[in-house]
Amino acid sequence: MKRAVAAILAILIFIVLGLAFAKIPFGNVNLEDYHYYNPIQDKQTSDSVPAHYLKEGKNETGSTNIVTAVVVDYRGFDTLGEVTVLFLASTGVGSVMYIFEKEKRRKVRRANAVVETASKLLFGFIILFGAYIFVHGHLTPGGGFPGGAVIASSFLLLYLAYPKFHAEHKSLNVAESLAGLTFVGVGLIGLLVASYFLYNFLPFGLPTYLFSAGVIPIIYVAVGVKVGSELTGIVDAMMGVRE
Amino acid sequence: MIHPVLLIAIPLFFAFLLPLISLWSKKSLPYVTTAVMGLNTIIAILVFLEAMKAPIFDIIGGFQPPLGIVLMVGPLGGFLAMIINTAALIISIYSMEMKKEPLLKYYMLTLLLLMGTNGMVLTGDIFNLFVFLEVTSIASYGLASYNKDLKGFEGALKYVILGSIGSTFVLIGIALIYSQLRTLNMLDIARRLGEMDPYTKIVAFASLFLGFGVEAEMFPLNTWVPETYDGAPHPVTAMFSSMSAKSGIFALARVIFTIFAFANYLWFVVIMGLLTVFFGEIVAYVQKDIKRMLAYSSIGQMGMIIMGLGIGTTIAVEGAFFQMFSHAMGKALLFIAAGYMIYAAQTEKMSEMKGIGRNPLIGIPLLIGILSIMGMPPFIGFYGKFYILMGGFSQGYYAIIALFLAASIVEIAYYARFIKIVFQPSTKNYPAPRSTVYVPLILFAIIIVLFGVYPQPVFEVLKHVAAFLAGGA
Repeated sequence: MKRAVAAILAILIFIVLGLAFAKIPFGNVNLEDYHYYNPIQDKQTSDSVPAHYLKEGKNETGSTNIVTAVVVDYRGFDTLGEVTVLFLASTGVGSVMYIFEKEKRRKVRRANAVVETASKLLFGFIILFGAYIFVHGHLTPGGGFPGGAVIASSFLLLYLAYPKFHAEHKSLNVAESLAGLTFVGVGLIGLLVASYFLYNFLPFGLPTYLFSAGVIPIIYVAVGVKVGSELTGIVDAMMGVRE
Repeated sequence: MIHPVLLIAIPLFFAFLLPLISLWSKKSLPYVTTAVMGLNTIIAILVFLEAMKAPIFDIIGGFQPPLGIVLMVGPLGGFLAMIINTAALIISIYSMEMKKEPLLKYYMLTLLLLMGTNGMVLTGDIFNLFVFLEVTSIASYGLASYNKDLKGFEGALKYVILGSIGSTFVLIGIALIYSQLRTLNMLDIARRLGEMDPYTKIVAFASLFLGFGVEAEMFPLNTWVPETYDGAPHPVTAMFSSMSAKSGIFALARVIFTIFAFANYLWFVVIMGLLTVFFGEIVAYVQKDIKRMLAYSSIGQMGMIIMGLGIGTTIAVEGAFFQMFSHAMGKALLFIAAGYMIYAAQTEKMSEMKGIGRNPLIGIPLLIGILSIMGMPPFIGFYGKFYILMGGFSQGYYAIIALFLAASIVEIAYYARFIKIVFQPSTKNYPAPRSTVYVPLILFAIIIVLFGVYPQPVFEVLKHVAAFLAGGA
């Protein structure tokens, strides 16, 4: 009975939501160009914001990958916030899953030889691939978040293959802190240099080359290290103490 | 020129630095946190003084809005940031009572909660508002479950479910606006709102209103409040009521006035506010546990603020902002006092707390806090309620005013009962409060009395409400 009522209610909610969203156009129906209004200079332009990103992105940020230009430079402050969200998630998990001394240890069986050997072989390559993804974030699709996730997955592999494996908490925390400090520090240097927080104060260099786009690669390396160590920390906290 | 972005960057920087400091000295963590909050309070006061002259636009990354993100701090935003940082500083003194491990995570989470609430109040970009809403709510989830007992987990889980649904609605609202206007800057959206399809506009407004309503404790999205407040550690409860609830309600005000530019009577906001007031006050009346009673009373107070915003005249919104100030100060005081009482009486039952207020260090600030929340002159709680009532009265909404007053009577009834129990003569011996308990209580009480007797500076700030309603910063 309860289930039937719940199902009917859920269906009704979805019907209402469906009807509400059926009338809303998503995306650009009429392809006319939008314009935007600058509230500080009180100016109206004949360009839309996305069009500006596509047209001027490369010149204004030096990044070949326009997605990266938007994520790290135009809206870098949001990315700082998102990094903080992940940092919070890992801190929160660490606080909830905090292990007191008296807690009993969980027994885990050994994995078989194939998994152990293969994970040893793959570990380095996965880390290398993750590092490639975030180092090349401003040139090719990818960036700090996916790169960090790939690095964390290599540690997850070790956790699955070796029951006794434990990433050292201290070094994880230090890596996490230093990466976070780098991001905020870059922002504060920008504030000092040009009085804009997160200002891209380094020379842009030639687009499509590794050393280009100013501070974007620095930020992405920091984000990659941070995401990698945070996700590893979450995995570690959730595994608990094993024997 | 002072940069408001420092209010966000400094707590974040030190939250990242704390793990390194804890390697060196674990005992210094509470002092570092308090020092950071003190620094933030000083910067908030400077930002506020600057914003009183002219609204500050702090451009991030050097890109002109709406291409980049901009922080938009008007007099009211600066005022609220100052309230939040001051409350955080005073509560952080009480936080030194905290003994439960892992302390490092606790102080990191409080700093990040401060960063998130500051960001929500200061930002002028709607997607940035969403990011800071996420920071605030995820920090709150972590802090709510910090006690790691059944009550804490229950409250945190309820909060996680409702909070995630709320932020999803916020995201939907933002996506709808962006799909039509191709911009995320609040003033840009407000300027070009007419270009939006009217139907989409209503759905977007409803989504944003619902989403921020969760954080602003609006009925019927506030079922998380009692359990979360009850299960969270005592300093954290004080932070929730004076920091995250205030930033949620200010975000709501931003949505109503800055983005959608509703400048007149919003009947459904008023009705939601009234329902919130009634739900909170009437359920608070039957509570037997002190923290649950204060939590429901907090819901009632937030309902009054929502009502003031909904009535929408200058006087009523002035009242709503005054009420935010008085609630932030008064409720933080009461929750800290409640924390001490639960510790001293070893129970949450109010009936077991006879005579606990007869110690003047606890009793006098407690009485000041309760009278202020009840709305008695000459404390700050009086002006907020009075101005909301005046705002309704000048527009002739007599029925609403009558209902509002009826709910206030219920509020007075249960607080009077509480006062009677707490000041009853009793033979019980309670442990004396430590300085980490009575210093914050006295500081809050001083603020309540000072601005209650001499409210002119606050009214000076509230003169800018008219500009805020007209769609300014």
